[in-house]
Amino acid sequence: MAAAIEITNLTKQYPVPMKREFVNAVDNLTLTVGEGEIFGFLGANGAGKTTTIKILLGLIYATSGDANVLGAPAGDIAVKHKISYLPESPYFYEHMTAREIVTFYAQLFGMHREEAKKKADELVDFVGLGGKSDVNKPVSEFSKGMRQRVGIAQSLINDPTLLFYDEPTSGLDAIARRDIRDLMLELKRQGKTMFLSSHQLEDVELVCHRASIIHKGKLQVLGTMEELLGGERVEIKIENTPAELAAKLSADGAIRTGDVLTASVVRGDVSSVIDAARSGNASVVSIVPMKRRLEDIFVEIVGGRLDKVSGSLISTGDRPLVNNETSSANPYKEIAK
Amino acid sequence: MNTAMVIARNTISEALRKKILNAFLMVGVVLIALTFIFQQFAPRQELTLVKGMGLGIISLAGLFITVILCINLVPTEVERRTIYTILAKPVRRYEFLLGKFFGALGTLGINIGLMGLAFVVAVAVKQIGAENAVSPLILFKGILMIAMQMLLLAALAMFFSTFVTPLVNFFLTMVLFVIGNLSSYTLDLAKNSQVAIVKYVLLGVHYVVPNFGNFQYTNPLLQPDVVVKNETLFLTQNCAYAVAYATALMVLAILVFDRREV
Amino acid sequence: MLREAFAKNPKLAGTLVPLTAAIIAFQAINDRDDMRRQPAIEPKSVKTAATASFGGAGLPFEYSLAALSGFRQVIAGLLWVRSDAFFHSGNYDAILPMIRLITWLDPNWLDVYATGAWHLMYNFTDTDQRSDRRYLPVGLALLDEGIANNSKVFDVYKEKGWNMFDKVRDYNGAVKAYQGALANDPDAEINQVSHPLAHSFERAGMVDESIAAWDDAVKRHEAWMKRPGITDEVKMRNSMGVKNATKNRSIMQIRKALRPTNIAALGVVDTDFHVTVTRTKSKVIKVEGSWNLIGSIKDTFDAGIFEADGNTIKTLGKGLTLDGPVNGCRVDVRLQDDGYKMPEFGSFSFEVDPKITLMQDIVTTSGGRQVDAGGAYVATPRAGNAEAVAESAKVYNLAPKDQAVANGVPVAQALTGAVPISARGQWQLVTMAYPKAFNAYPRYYTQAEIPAMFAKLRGDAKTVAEKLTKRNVHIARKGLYAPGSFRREIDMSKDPKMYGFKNDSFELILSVNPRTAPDFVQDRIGWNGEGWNDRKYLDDKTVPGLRMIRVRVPLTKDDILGSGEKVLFKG
Repeated sequence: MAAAIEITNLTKQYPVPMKREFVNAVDNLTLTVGEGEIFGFLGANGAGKTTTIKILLGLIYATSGDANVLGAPAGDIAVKHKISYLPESPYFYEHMTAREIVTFYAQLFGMHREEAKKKADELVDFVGLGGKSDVNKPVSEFSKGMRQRVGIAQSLINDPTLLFYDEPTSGLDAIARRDIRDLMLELKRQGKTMFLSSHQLEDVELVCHRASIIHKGKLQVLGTMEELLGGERVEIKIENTPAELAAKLSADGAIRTGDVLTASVVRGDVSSVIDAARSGNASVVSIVPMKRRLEDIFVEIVGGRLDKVSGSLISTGDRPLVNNETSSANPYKEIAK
Repeated sequence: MNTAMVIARNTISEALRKKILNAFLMVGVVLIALTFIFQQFAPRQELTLVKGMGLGIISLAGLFITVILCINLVPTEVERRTIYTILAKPVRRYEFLLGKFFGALGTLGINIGLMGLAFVVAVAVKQIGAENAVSPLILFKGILMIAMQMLLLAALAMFFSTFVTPLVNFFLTMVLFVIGNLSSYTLDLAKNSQVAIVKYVLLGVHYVVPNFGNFQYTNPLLQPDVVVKNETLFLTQNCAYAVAYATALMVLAILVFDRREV
Repeated sequence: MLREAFAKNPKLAGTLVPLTAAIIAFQAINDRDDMRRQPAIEPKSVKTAATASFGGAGLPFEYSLAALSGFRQVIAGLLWVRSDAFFHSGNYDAILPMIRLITWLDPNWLDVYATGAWHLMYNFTDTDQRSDRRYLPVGLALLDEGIANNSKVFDVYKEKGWNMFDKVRDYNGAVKAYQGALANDPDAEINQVSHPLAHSFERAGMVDESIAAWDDAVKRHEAWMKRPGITDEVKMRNSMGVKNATKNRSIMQIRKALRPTNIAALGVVDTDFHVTVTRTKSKVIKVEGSWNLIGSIKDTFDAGIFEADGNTIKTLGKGLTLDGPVNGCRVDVRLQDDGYKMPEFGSFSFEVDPKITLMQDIVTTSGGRQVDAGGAYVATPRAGNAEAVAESAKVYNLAPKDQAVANGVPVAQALTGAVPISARGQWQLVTMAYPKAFNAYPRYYTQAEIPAMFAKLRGDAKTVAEKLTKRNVHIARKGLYAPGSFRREIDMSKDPKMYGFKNDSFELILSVNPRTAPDFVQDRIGWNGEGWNDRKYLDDKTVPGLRMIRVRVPLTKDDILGSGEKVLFKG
């Protein structure tokens, strides 16, 4: 699989106002996104997601490190013909209609006016804004969801091979979110590469092949959804565990409740543990694969809490800290490596 | 460059839809009112007042439209994040900047042109039956000079807008407009200065700050006998000066904007 | 950031070098003289006024700022509108600083100089509409500044010329101003410059120069009419100009030829000037007096016949009809600080010394009518003018009646042969009895027509009764004469600001200057007073070659300020 995005040791520093100090918005980030991959880029607000995307698009410049997009340095004008960007809560020229906006953006790709208009009609219909009530409305009268659809329409003008979507579902109601999610699934089906930044974890779980979590500018975890979420460990409850086995499992953190020992074991070890239990005449009470949610990982890494209503991570609000701060102990580091 | 034109067109249509033309309408009303309010004066004085005030009002309206439009064009794009989607498209930064600049020029051109046209028509109507009246068409020379002055001012404001906030830009541009209008004074002061360092600083100011004062062509138009010795040279060289200086400012703006983080 | 950008875009950055060079070059061209308008001359007083204005003394801050930012004309216009409002509300003191600022802001606004000078020289007046002549030098200084700032256009020269001519009555000064206009502005409007120049020469007693100026005016008009692309209106104005200039040139030539002849034929008039100056109240001076003055009647030139060159008179007609009233010939009365002379202002300043007292007034002389033996006159009890129909036949009222009646007989009696009626008397009666239409040509009966008409009148008792007897027309037994008299009470008590009387000694000067006299009076006395004399008051020293009548009455402060009636001078 060829790399669509290659980020190597990318660092972006901002000066702290009024001080001779810098903060790292992005801190020594290295990751690769393969072609055809839907890649989730997770982090709380202010974690460095948007900064990374802006660097990849050439809107801002890295302090150090390399960022290549479709084989060319970030910001390359030829590459921009093949990529597209949907910013977080996109803003458009408020006085224009969806169709005018998309026509305008289409012309930026060098399309002639007529061609651009045709394309705009097509895309506006595709994102569901072609209805009579919407088609002549200026964007200023649009709801957030409708604006998002305009954003998606403009992101599809050039039939891009690589899409950068920044928080495409944030702030939307349930129906709008579902529609957009469906759209992303459609894009996935079409084999597009997508760099999806979000803190809407469900979306990522559902859409992405792989995901990473970034916190305070640093990469915390990276892996396939399988790796991140799925059955790596299995919870085994054993009654009357033989002493030898119990000692071994307890050393790995098993907990004894009465006669029952609850242990979490790596999937590969499950057979040997059961065999050992059986041979010691212990009875296996239950074997349950430990299916986790991204949320759990997120909470563990970010240390924040989830908003019960929205299901998304409450913003920690803080900018990345000064660069000498060491990140907290991370049990998933080995996965990242 | 096509892309720049697309952005320019879009900028003009946005400015027009934002009712920038209302300024023209207001000025138009004032201009028409002007032709009535000085009737207590003798005809020649009345015409002098109408023409002088009219050109002044166009110039003043032009000044405010230019400054307010140009200090905001780029910062607004950044602030409302429309620039992200545009620069994510195959648009070079200089194309974006030039597009905005040409859009501003188009808007100004339409405004000043319409104001000028309304003014010339008002004067022409006023002059009907007047004895020994000078053709109102020569007023277009004054309007051309105003337009050129505004071209230069627009470039100045655009240049600053690539790296300072609109508020700072407003004061910066206005102060330079005032200093630039005093260009002949800075030269005189420099010539009369005894202290070498003061002399060179003043000369520096004289040559570096755009000479906005030279675009004032009202008097030779009001008093047809007050002549610039070489009018053709004066007008063409002023236009060339405005274009050259504006180009230099836009080159600088492009260079600054090229590395600007948005 | 910029360094990086330069490094990344060397080609683009490279264009800055030629662009900067171009900008500096253009700016240097801008600074060249031929790219500038005539440089505005800003006298020191302007600089101080301007500086003071930024301190808040004159121009409000927002005006200053606007003026600095290239809206000088607008601000000048606003101030001008404002000063016009001040003028209409009578707040003249506020106008002067305005004019100062306006001319500084816009030194090329010709109308401001013209109107400003008009305000200064004409509109600052006392209660009785006498101009405050302390402002004359100020107004002239403003005009001089205007000329300095607009030396290549005729407008301000013309204004100065007119003010010199009409207000200051310094005709040499007017000549200088008009000549300045012609010398500096090839497009000077002939009617407005060459014509008044010729008139100024005439008033200055420079007859030949005046004729030459009319000649020059004709040539200039003709040259102008040959200019390509001129409008019909300009053509018409110039052809009218040619007509007027030609006519005026003829008049000057005829006067030049006739005036000395007339004086030689008629002799020198003894003016016998008498005047009494009385203080009636504090600061109220009464001036009254009488003098003999006989004017000529206007419009009675026989046309001269000229050689083909148009300049040399071949033959003259019979000349002027020489008698008639001198109404309109005026005595100048001036009361001033002893020895005051109008100062010349190097630069315009609106500060007038409030200590100066200066009053100038004009007292009109009425009367001065005469009739020869055998001539017709009106004898009524009331003084004053006769009816128009009589005056147009040169039949004047020689009141009071008793004197008049005693020296003549009613016209009906005279027609029966009681007294002889002279040829002129016959002309007067015929003209009055059978008046010609006002637009008839010639305007009067010729001497050849008179005998027949007079015979007709003798037989026309009805007309005699209705047109003549009813109007108290008499025929003089002997020559009668009513002297000119003048009387004026000059009240200076109402305007203490204008008439402060701060000095200790003053002088009251009464004068009649032949050069300011109406031309029908000049026709009798000549340009320079050659045709008059006065035993007591003839002054040919003050201006060499000019024979003025001039009475100087020295006055003390007490003479003017004291209360009660006092005769200050009688002689």
